[in-house]
Amino acid sequence: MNGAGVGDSNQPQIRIRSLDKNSVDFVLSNTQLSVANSLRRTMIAEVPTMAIDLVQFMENTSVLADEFLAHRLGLVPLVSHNVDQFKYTRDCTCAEYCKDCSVEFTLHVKCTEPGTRAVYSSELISSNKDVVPVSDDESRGIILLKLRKGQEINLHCVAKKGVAKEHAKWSPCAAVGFEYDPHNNLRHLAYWYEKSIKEEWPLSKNAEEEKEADPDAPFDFKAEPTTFYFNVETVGSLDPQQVVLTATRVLQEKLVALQLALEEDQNPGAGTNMDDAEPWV
Amino acid sequence: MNAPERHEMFTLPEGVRKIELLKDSKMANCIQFNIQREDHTIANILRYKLLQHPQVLFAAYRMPHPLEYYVELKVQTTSRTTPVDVMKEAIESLMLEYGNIRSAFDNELLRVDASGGDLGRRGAGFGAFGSLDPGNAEFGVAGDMGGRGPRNDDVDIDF
Repeated sequence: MNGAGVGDSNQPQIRIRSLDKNSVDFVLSNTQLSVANSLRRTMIAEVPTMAIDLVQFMENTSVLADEFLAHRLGLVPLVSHNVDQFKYTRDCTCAEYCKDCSVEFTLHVKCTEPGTRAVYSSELISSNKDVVPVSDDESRGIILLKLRKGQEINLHCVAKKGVAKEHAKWSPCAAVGFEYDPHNNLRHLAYWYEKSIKEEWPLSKNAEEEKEADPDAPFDFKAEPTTFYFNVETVGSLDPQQVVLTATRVLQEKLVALQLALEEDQNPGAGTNMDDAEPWV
Repeated sequence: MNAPERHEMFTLPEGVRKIELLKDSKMANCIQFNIQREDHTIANILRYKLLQHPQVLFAAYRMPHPLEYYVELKVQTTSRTTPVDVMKEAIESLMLEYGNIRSAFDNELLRVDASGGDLGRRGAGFGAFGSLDPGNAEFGVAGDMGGRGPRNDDVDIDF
């Protein structure tokens, strides 16, 4: 660090409380609210994944309209562990889409038996073995539509890389739980109640981690939150730990872009050379 | 029909500068940074970091309009430094902080993995970010998140 003062000694700490296939529960401490909130916002909206973006219908004699099905297909989560290998289509050199920026899927099902034929997301045939619809080993994925005898569906999809800022279908997170100050010691919340706050607002399990402030002590109006409870739940496209790690990287990339822009502003022409950029570690 | 394309909120158009610096004619040592294609995520952390700096007298941001994808960040400092310099310090400090968060998280993953049992890991899908297995062959491939040990010098973003 070249300067004194800007929070030099900030050494955030992390404690993972539980980790499984689709969620990670962790405590982030020794940092500020704005940093914790930026991490939350980035995990929800700016971690890239793959999702179906274009659908071409060759045949659709099902009861569902084309655009209705296209929207559904867009929302199907795709395994995106290799999303880093893809370019954004807008950055790609190809005219429309190509294998460097997209994955193609086909779906062709006709119901020939009497009765109902359910079509599952696992029946989408991918052009890339690493990018396939999310499904557990024992399940067939998500039901996309149902066909009766004689009905047919034949379509072609293109999945692209994107972020949830553009459309929520690209979000790797189903939900991100975020809490701080479970006892409301900082009085950031004004609870509405009829008779008793304590009875009407039960404490979350995070309350066990912190002490309640002495009700007789004078209120510390300078106190700030430093401990944040996260519960990152994914849709299956990325591992939860991957979501957290990618979010920190995305934030750093944004900051690097700002740093380069500032350098460029001060001595035009020089900042474009990476060697001139100041190292940040 | 007239709606702007959604990707316009994060792709910088050709010929537009990422940061525009405007001097404030009424306040000494004050600069307004107009940051293109960023939102509360970046502006709020910068504002917060700047306010912690002892030489900063004023730091605040606003998003003038939800369909104009930029933020205005105004910074005033004492005469001992300049708004641009404290801004650079704030950016560096934040980059370090996110690097620290990442290595702390990576270390926690190793600890959780070592403890095994209920906090078990998923077999597939760690590849792109380095496996939790120390000494895995994929360690250090492009896109590796770094942060494998108790060190902070491993921020290896490739541009």
